[in-house]
Amino acid sequence: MVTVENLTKSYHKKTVVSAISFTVKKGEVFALLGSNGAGKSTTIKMILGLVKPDAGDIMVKEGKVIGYSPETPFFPVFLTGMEVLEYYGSLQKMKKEVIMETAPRLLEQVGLEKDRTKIKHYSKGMLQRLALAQALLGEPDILILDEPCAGLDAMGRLEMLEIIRKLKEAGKTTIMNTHILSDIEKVCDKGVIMKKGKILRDFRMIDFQKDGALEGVSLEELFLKTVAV
Amino acid sequence: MMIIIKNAIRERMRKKEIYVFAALGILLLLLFGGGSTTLQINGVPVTDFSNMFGIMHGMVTVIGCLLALLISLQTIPNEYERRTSHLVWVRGISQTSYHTSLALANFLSGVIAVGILYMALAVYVIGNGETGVLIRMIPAFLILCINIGIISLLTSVLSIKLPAAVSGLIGAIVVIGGLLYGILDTYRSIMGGFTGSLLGMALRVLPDFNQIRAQSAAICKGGSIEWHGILAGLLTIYILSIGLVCLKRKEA
Repeated sequence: MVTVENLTKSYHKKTVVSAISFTVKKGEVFALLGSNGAGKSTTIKMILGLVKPDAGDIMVKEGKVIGYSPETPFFPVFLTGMEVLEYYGSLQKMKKEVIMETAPRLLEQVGLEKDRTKIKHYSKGMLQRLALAQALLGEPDILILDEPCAGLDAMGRLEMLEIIRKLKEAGKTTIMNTHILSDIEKVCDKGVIMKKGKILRDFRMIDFQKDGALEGVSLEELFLKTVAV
Repeated sequence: MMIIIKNAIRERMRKKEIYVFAALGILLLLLFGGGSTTLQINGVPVTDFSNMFGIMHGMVTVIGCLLALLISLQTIPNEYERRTSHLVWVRGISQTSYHTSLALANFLSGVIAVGILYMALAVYVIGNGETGVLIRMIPAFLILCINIGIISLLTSVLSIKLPAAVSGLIGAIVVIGGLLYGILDTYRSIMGGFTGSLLGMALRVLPDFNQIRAQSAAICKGGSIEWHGILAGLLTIYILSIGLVCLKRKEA
């Protein structure tokens, strides 16, 4: 579904992403795991076309629609959740009647109400949910979620992960950027561990589930062992 | 494009910033209009409608230009600062289309704000029983919108590349210079020498807001207008539109 080959990006002569490669197959939830400054967000932005790579290739299966949920979503504070979906739906040229039919369903799917509450009264968790809802507009085949659980409390995180899990069941391909190991354990199929713009190693969650053994360690131990290098 | 324009204008409407600015402008107008018996120019009391209307029309121009500047200043930088641009770009909207929509929203918001001021002026005209002027105020308003267009576009274009504070400062210099164009031109001809030629160079790039204001006022008074100033204003808008198409941000 998505193939990244030798992707490289530098800012002011500092390499932030260095020749990374990975493949995400249909229906997989793929994790970009790493500490702050590992190059995860830059990688995501390059896949989305928000940042131009210096080198490398990004191949997305032809005709596939991508939905994107940013790390720190900002929506015009004077709008309601429904109006936000109407706005972004119109931007992607969805028909008015389709938006009016889809938007309430999406709000419900992410646990928000179709009411007159303005965005300025939304909590961080509600904003993250709304960000996911706008990413789901137009039935995207691929979802790119930048730190979907950032700033959420324990309950909010669990609910968000449950939504991602349900989307996976519905066949969505997801690329998720996070530094929270337990989130990956709950929803991801595979991923890569990044540090200073490089992929240090890849992993598959299935390997941890076999007697909890990949090199005899858990994901947390593997991560610590990898980034300590 | 329309949806971005609509949303940007809706933001201003709901944040009430247009109304606040326009209300302040009306307050200023009322201060002058209401106290006409005490207003003097060169020691001569200015009380008749013709004089008062000219002064108030000039004030609408000055306040309107400043309003247009204030309204346009933050729009584009805010979009990038809040990263709302990300969610627009990923939907396949080009930068040119995005910036143009925001600049048009700035222009239309400016027109609405100045329109509110103009309505206050219309109330003054009706109050004085000068209904003939009222009809002429419509084309006069359209002419005045050229000034609003130039400022909105200039500030929008500058803010694609520059921080809001810098584009605001440049915009303010252009507004003041453009409104004082006639005085500066007279000063240039008196000065001569290096200062004169420096001022002459500055005047070549400054839009003549005063000329456009004068044409707008002439329409209100039923006088003839000089098309040169209006055409120069429209040409400035055209040149600035090219900047809107050519200037791009490197990344969202």
